[in-house]
Amino acid sequence: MTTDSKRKGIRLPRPLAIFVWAYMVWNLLPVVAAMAFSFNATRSRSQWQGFSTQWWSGTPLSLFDNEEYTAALKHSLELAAMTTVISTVLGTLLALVVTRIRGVAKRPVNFILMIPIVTPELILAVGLYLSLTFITVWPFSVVELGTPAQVVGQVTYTVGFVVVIIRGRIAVLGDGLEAAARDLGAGPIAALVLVLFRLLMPAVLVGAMISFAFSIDNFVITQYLSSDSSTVSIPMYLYTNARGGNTTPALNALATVLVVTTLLAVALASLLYRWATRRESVASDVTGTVALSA
Amino acid sequence: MAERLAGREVKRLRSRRDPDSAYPRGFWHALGAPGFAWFAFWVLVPAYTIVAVSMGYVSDSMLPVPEWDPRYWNLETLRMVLGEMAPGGVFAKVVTNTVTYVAGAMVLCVLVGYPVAYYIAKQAGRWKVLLIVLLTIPFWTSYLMRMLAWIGLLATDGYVNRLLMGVGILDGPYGWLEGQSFVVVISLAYGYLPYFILPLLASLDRIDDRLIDAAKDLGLGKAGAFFKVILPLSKMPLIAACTVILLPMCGDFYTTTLMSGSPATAMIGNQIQVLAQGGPQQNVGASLALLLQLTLILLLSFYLYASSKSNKAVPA
Amino acid sequence: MVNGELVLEGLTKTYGDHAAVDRLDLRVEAGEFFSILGPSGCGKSTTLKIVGGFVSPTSGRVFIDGNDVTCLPPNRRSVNTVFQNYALFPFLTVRQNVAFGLRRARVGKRELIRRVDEVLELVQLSTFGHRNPSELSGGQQQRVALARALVLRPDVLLLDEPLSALDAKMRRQLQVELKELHREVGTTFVYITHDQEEAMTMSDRIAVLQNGRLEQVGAPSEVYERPQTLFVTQFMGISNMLHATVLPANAGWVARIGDAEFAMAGSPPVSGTVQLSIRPERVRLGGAGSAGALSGVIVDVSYVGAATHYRVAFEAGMTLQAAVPNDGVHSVRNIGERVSVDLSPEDFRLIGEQQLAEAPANDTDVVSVG
Repeated sequence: MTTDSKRKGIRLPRPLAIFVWAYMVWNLLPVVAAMAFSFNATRSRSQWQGFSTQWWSGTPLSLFDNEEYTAALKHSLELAAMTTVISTVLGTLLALVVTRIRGVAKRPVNFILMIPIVTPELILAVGLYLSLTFITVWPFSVVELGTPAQVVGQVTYTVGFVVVIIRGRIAVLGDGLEAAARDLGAGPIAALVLVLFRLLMPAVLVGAMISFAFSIDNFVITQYLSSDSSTVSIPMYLYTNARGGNTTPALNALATVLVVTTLLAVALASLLYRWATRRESVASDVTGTVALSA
Repeated sequence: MAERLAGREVKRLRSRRDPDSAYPRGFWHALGAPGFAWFAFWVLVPAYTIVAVSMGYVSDSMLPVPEWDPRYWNLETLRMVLGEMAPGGVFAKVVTNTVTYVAGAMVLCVLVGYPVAYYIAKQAGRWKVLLIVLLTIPFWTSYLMRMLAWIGLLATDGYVNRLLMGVGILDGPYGWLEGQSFVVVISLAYGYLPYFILPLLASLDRIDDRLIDAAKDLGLGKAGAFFKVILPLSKMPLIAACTVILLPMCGDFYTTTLMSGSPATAMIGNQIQVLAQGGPQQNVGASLALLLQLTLILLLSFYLYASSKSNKAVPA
Repeated sequence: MVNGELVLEGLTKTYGDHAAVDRLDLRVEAGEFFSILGPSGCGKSTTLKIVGGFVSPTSGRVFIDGNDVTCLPPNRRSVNTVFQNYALFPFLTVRQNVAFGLRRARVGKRELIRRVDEVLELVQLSTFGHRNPSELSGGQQQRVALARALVLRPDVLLLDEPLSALDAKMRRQLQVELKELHREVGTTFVYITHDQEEAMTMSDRIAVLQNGRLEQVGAPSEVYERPQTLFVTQFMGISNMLHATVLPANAGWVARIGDAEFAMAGSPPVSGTVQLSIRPERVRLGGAGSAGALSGVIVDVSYVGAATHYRVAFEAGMTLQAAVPNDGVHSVRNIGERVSVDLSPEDFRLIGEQQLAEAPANDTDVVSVG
């Protein structure tokens, strides 16, 4: 150990460092505590009285044994699955298109894509709700409040973020590899599928995971476009019951599932991204400035 | 190997080619069509519907009817809503609440978030990666879960009251969750801080360290370097981070519902949420939403104008 | 019969008001190693994109062996490209990269293996087939790109500054290899470069482009020694530019430079003053006493290895650059030394009179942009 690092080791942390770590504790500790309360021995959600797993499973009030909880879990997963598929497909296509089209359409298209990102969710939800209740022509007539409307709302909200992620990746890639594929005899579709989609896979995966996380966590739109108790998602259930005097630590267990699922999705996305781009150490700077990106 | 082409085929191929790419004309537009249709149906039409409902009228059976034709738009509801926002009006309270809560939470975000972002970007050293990961976790944690966590701690028999009573600050349990404005403000700040810090951190991280070294080299002390270099360069990132949280905060209704539950601390979001969801006042709800969105567009264009100006001022 | 004759006819590409390529006519013979040379922005890349099929010309046609391919997409032309940064597919191995085009052409499996093996041997990468492109050096990646294009036996191979990303030593080596490869496969090579030395080293013929227009086409020696325009003169290495007064004579005409007069062959130019260029290696230095035509003082000496470059100043404010080989015969001179300068009239090039307007303010030793 050098003297320098020794001095560093015993130096008192500066006020700013203490402040930052205090913020981290303030930020994270309550969530950890709330997760811990799902293992409380009694039905209190504010006082720790010993460890048990009864709120997770084993009794009729447990998370995995109670119809209300499992229905919310199932509905949230259903919504997330549909939202992820639709917004990933649409987002990928749109990202490709907005990076490739030129001329008068470019600006308005980019502008429209940004609207859901810069609008409060509540206003998006109100707009969708009003158009679904007041407009009686296709496609508004076939999308009913409940699951279909919730999926439409969630996709509209998430697809812009997917576009942003994939567009960033396309910008890094340039169009040199596609040009090379065309040069070697691939038609437009083959170049797209064999080369561009292959190269975009990591970003598409990240986009998919992020729409999954957004969908699972989404509350405002999902709640506004729900129909009845059969379309209650986890965040909606949390909202309705958070202040309720009768709720048990099973609610904390439900919230824990929500947090863990989202974090797993995001962690998985970043791991997959690293894995899928592992060969690109050299290739990324090769493709970045390829000849034919004018 | 090259194909011999009849003149007709040449002409046909020429008209099908996009002159500046190797793809056929219209290829990308066709590929984007589903996405464009989606956005047209589910973004543009809903936005227009809000306007139409707001500018519509109420039928004899007391139900709002949207007016789709701009020629017959009726500004009565908007005018009424604007009037009720003035002091003494029905919406005066929610407007003041919204403005003060959002402003208060934003000030807290700057006071807490800026030092945190600055420290992690410039001084955290080997802790940087860990701190960024710790910041990302709440970013990806359900907002409602983070409120739920405080509800447990702030409950009458919760650990906050027990701690404060234990050290003698409080004599009896305090009703944190019983309609306290300051609790709502702190909760908003707590809720939105992760969304504030991450973009700020990203921009501060991009400030070239050599600028700081250069400032020190030119005789400015550590503090001087901060005030003369970092702080001026932080202005636009700070405004950007404030914009990022301003938009969702203005539409927020769940934070105050969960952390206070009292109508006295209702925000404009609560009003919109209740009114727009049905009944004879749907047009009032739509008008409130329209006014909120117009205000936000105004603020956003101010931000875009400021950032484009500052981009011009500092050549890359 | 050898395939690969490439003809460009009145090729024009405009972006808005700007013409990237302006009425370009070129004929590249089958089997030729042909370079398109010019500074960045001269239109050489656009020309290549048009020939490759990535951009359609605003007007004009592209013929390969007499067939009009102007409107064919890239995948339907028997033209292949070696891209500037190779554009190797990072997710495929070397073999898979090389086989990519053969698979698109639905070549049978046995044939495919044979041809990939053959071409990998040709570029000396037989043992690298299962590597990833990112594991190879720049020079090796470049050879994979070559193999990938050559395996398709194109009529015309386009090379877009393929050596520009490599260091100087590797570049030299690959220049030699490319030339040998060209002799072996016999395909038409169209080589894009901004490096005049590279173009001269490798090519059978060179086309010099500027502002989208063709300046001159010819063999390297022709373009270097008999540049037809001011731009070509300056672009092809260092040149001295001299103002001369035109005087009449019995046979030919006389160019008066300072106090010296030179008898020139050919018909006299119309205008009273002209510009003449002369390469530094044609400027001969004599001793202070010798009977040179001009007398000046050495103001700068730069030793460049094979030769020493002297800058000689004359009374009239004119300077000349002279390159003297370090061959042991010529003595080394110092700054301030008085020398006589010997110039032969046949080494002068008369710069086309219409080019004079474009002459830069400093009219001596203009070094090529490159």
